[in-house]
Order: sequence, then structure tokens, then C-alpha cells
Amino acid sequence: MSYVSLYRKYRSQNFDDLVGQTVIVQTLKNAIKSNRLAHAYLFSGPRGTGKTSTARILAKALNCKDGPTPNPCGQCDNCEKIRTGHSVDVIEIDAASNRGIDEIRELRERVRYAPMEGRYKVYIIDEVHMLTQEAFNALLKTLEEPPAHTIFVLATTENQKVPMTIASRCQRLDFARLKLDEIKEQLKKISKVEKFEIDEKALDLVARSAEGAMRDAISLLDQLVSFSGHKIAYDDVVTLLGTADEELLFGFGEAAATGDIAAVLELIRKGLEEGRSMQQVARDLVLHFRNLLHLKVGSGESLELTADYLKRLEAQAGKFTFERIKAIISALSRAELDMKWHPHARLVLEVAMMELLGERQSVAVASSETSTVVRQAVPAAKRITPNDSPVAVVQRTTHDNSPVAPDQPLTHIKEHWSAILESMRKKSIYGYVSLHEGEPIELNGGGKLVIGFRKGYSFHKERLEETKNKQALEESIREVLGKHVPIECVISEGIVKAPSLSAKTVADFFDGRVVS
Amino acid sequence: MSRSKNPVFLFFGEEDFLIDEKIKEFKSRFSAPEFLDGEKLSLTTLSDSLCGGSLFTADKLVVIKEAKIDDQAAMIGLLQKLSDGTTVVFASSSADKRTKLYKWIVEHGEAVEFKTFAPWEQDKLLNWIGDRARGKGKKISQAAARLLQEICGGNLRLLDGEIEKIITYIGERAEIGSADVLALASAGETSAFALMDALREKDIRRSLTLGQALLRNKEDIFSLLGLMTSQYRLMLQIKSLAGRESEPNAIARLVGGSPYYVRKCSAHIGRFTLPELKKHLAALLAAGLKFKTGENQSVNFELLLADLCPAGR
Repeated sequence: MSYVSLYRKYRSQNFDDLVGQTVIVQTLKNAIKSNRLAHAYLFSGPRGTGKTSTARILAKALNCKDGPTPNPCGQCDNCEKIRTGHSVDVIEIDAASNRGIDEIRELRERVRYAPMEGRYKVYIIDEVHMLTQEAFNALLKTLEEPPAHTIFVLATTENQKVPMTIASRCQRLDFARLKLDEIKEQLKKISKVEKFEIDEKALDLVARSAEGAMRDAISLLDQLVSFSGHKIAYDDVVTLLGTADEELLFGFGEAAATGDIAAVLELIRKGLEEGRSMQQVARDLVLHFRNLLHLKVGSGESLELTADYLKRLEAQAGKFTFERIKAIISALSRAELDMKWHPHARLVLEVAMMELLGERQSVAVASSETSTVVRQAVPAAKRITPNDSPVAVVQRTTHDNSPVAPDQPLTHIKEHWSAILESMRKKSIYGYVSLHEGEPIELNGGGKLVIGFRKGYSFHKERLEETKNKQALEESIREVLGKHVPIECVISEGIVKAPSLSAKTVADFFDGRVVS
Repeated sequence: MSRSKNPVFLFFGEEDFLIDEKIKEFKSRFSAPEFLDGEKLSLTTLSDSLCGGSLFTADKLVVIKEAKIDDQAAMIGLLQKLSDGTTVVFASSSADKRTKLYKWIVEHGEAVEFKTFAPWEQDKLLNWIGDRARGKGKKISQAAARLLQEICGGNLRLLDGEIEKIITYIGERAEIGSADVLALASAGETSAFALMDALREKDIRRSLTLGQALLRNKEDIFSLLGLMTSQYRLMLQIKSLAGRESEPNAIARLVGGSPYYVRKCSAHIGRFTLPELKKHLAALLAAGLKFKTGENQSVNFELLLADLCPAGR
């Protein structure tokens, strides 16, 4: 016999097998016992919570030879046919691929005919929210006046997409996401029967990563068995999921708390070396800090984590202020988005972390007016500035809000460009990186300094145009030149910017090496 | 309803559930009711149905839903020639009171409008819930009825479905309590209302716990955002009316909300300043933009909750 996946093998076959849906089970059992069946049900809830299984059990309960009964025998022809999907009276329709009006019209034609083997014809329409508006309208006519021998079960993961006219004509049963303990218990049962050895920590991670969906948890267990045999360890789960492990996340937390940029860069390198995607690391970091946020305000219980893990989180949460956690989540969430379309995901994460820790460090060192953030993390011998120019001395001059005179020579600005860059670096790392890709090309008639970017560098242009970065640049220019110079960013095809950072410079900066 | 001299009825209005109930009541009195789809009506079909008697019974019921009649004079002519024993029911979500047909039915038959309960008629709605439960052989406590109304709103079809479901759930038990309503309401619905309470109370711990539960149950984040926005908007309106109006029913009429909800919001209005409420609405707008531009929705939703409960810091 061919291999049957675990989730199919352990699919619930009667109401008592269903995990975590006691209220729904009681309602359906009572409906059968007291003959209060609705002509249409709407099963809604997240995936893997038992909607389709419940629909099939209901069909068995109604059409079982001993029925209608809340406890179908599972042995008779009707029960067996429903279990194997061969019953002519139980019609399962996938609305995702049969979503048009023609399919529903056909259904309406067939609904009229009486059941052939059982007492009821049961129509199970899965993913019903995928039907078109016209198909919903056609279905509505049937739901308004359904034949007595027909029961509809509409299942959906997106309840809000089902029109109210349809939803209000059905008895709606909401399938709740399963609790962590319920999933763990079921996984333990399956492991016992199948003779799998899985340690508690691994079991916990499998159950947590399923996010309340039993099917996902069982499928993951199945994959783990294929991956690591019948003995499953925590590391196997981490490898298979590709998530950042606990140590990496707590390591980031510690580095963020102490402002240790070098440690953060090292952790990012380590994550990459272990084959993790940077997006996944960013996502896991966001979730880690979001866990800290919950701990900070006392809502940690809702996280459904183990006591040991919660204790560790609690200890780390104590090292941050509420506002600091919010700022970190915000920055990481933004970085996670940027990484989706930036070719250098690692750089985005590094810059985001440096900017975050930089803010903290600049507060700490404000009084001593020492060097920039990045330099604190890099050994003194390796400190460099772009173009390998000496660190520019920022001259603070009297602020003057008047626009720069149109005759202000562009060459004067270009001469001070490295100082402007240096000043910008202190104000916004993101802005600095983007400014670095542009260059001053002219002072236009309106007295604006036009910064040109090469074709294909619109990302940097747009980044620099963001209010925060634009203000930072204008402030930097004012600091260096003593004049207010408004700026304008353009894409200019004429610009051929020579790479100012050699591979070696970058490697030195990050304490790495050039591979090829 | 008294029997009119012409057995022609027009049931119209927004409350289609009550119209369907009325039709059901009529249907039970006739053995073979005939339903006509108003959108596909022709005068010939109508003439056959209205002016020809029934072969098998003395009385006949013809129900015409959402009739689209261009030639109203011809329609009136048919209604004047109704065969003996025929009763006609027009059912429609709206009716143009200026038309000849409407005026003819009012004069010669009966027109009944079924309106939804207005936001300030919540007491009547509660009575309706009680009556409905009693009609099905069960009692419902005042608190449970209020909870049900809060969860389902004023949609009577939905309320009826929920009452039926709860009755099935409780089985032999005689009275529906709040716990039964809560057990069967979706986690999303109950948590969403509890979240609104927590936000009004600026309880960050509860807000984040409930927010977390809602996100786990994959509740639609934009619906939640809408609910939160309407709550803060209402609070802003109440705050703006301070000094001019304080009576919840009067405020509800002015802002078009439910007095019950106005009362709930008013109870906490002292915790908020006008600039704070404006700031909250701006934060909701900013969060909405983030959700739509691809940022991590669940995390930003939790950050939003943290921003809306500054007292919890």
C-alpha cells in the first residue's frame, strides 16, 4: 500500500476524535439528537482547525445506517464510502477552482434530486469565499428555499469575504485556533503510536510553529521524520524550519541592550553562515522583540511559551524600556519590508541595527562628542571614511535660514562634500548610505542644490527624499556651509559615478575578507 | 392585520427577515403557494397566475419578489380582475410611494413597511430577542440578550440564527445565559468588543492580550481598525459636544449612534483629552497606511495598541 501522510492517517473520524472544538461538537450532536438541524452551516476559522473533517463527520452522522446519530458507526457502507470519498450523496466542491456561476447553476439543478444511498444530500463547499459575486447570488436562491433533504456546509478561512446575505442564512460555527497544549498532546499521541522519539523542546517548537493549525503541526512532524528519522531533536526542527534559534535571538537581544554593534554584525554573519535567510532572521527578531513587549506590559501569558523561555524573556525585557522596545520593533519591521526588494538584504539589516544602536550610543556619548557610532564598533586601525578621506572636521557655524545665494559656487559645495557626508552619517545612517550614491550636480535657478542619482538608483533617491533624511541633509549642509541650502533629488542619465568604495575598503570596514 | 377588501399586500422595507417571516405566515395558510421572480416578470405570466384560478384548491397565494413593473396601469388592471380566492403578496426591499401602483395598493389592499430598529431603539431590539427566544421555548437573561445584541448588531436574521444555535447548544436547559452566548460567539467577535473596552480603559496589558488572540484567530485587521476608528471618532464627537449636550440619547441622535454605545464611551471620556483623541485617529490612519504598504501587519497592529494605551507605560 502506498504511503499515507500522517495528517490523512490521523484525520478525525468521529465527533469525539475532534481536538479542541468542544462547543461545536456539542452543538452538532445536540442538533442531531433533537432534530434541530440547520439547512446550511457556515464553518469558519483558520486552516487546519477541523472544518472539513467536521463536515465529513456530520455527513456520516446523518447518513450512517444507524443514524441520524451523534456517534456514526464508521463501519457501514455509507460511513465507509464517505470516509473514502466515494459517497454519491456527499458532494465536496472546491470553490477555489469551481468559482463561477455555471458551477453553482449546475449544483442548483442537482440539488433537487433526492439522495440515493442515505437520508441527506450533503454539499460541502470548501473555501466558499472564493466564489464570484454572481455565483454567490445564484447560491443565495438555493439557500433561501433549500429542499428538505439537502444540507449545505460552507467552509471558509476568510469569513469576512462571505456576503452577509449568505452568512445570515447559515448557522455559523467558528472554529477556534487550537491551543498549544492541545497540539502537543495530539503530536505526542501520534508519536507514541508511530514510535517516534521527539524531545520536549522540539515538540514545543513544532507545536508553536504550527500557529494553532493541527494539520500544519502533523505535516511538520511528517517532514521531520523524513528528514531525521524516528528520533527528532530540537536542532532538526530549527534546521528544517530555517528559523533563528533561541540563542541567536537572545544574543541579538543582549547586543541590542548593551549597544554592542560588533556583536550584532557577528550574529548576522553567523546567521547567514548557518544558511538562514536574512528576511527570516529579521522576521524572527521582530517576533522576539514583540515577545519582549508583551513581557514588558505583563501580557506574556498570552504568548503560549514554555515557563523557561518566558523566564529568559522576562530577564531580557528588564534591560529595555518600553519605548526602546517599540522603537526597535518599528525599525526592524521597516527593515523587513525594505529587504523584500533590496538586492542586499544583509546590508539592510546591518544598517537598520547600526542605526538603532547608533541612536542609543549617540545619546550615551553626546556629552563627550567622540566619534561616530560605527567607529565605536570597529577597531581604531580600521576606521575609514568613504573615499578614504580623513575624518572631516565639522565646523559649526551660525545658522542662517536664508537660501544660499545663486552665485554660491557649486565647487565650494563639492569641496566640502565629504564633510557634509560625515555630518550626515551622524544624523541618519540610511540617509548617509543613500546620499553616498548621489552627487551634487548643480545649483538651480531657485537656489536648490540638485543631487543627481544614476539610472537604477531611484531607491536611494526616494530614500533621501523622505522628510527625515531630507531635513538631516539640509541640516548637515547648514552645519558645514553655514547656509541653508534646500535640496532636490533627480535621476540623471549623465552621471557615471566611479565606485568610491572598493571591495577591500568594504571588507576592512566590516572586518571581513574579499572572497573573489 | 385586518383582511382588506382586495387581497393584495405589499411588504417592503430594509428588514427582509421580517418580510420573509410574514410571507412564511401567509404560506402556512395556503397549500400550494406560487413564487414569481419579479425580475423575469411578463404581463402574460402575471395574467395567467393572477387571473386563472387554482385547479386543485379554492385558495391560492401568489408571492412576487422584487417586482419590476413598467406598465403599472396594466398591472392595476390585472389586480382588479383577480380570480376568486387568489391572494397576492408583493415583497420588496423598497417601494416608491409616488407610483400609481403603490397608491392603488394602499387604497384597495394593504402596504406594510418593515423597518430595521434604529440605533436608539435598542430596548425594542432587546424585547424582540426575548420574544424570539420565548417563541422557541427558552428564556434568555437580560445580560445575555444585551451581549447577543452587542455581538450581532441589529441584523434580525443573524440574531435569529444565533438564538437558534445557542438553543441547540444548551439542549435541555431552559434559560440562555451570558456564558452560552460567549461560548458560541466567534473568538474574534468577543475579543474585538473586549479590545474596545480595554482601549477605552487604556489597559495596555489587556489590549495586547486581546490583540494577540485576535491576530492568532486571523481576524481581519482592517475590520478591527475600522472598529477602533469608529470608537475614537465617536469619543471625539462626544468630547466635542461636552458642555452642549450630555444626555446619551440626545448625543446618539446627534451623532447617529446607539445610546448604549454612547453611554459606554461617555463613561470613559474623562480619561481622554481632545488633542489625544485626534492623535489617536492620526495613529490609526498611519497604521492603516503601513498595513496597506506591506509592513508586517500583526506587529504593527500591536505597536498601534501600545501607542493607544500610553497610560500603561
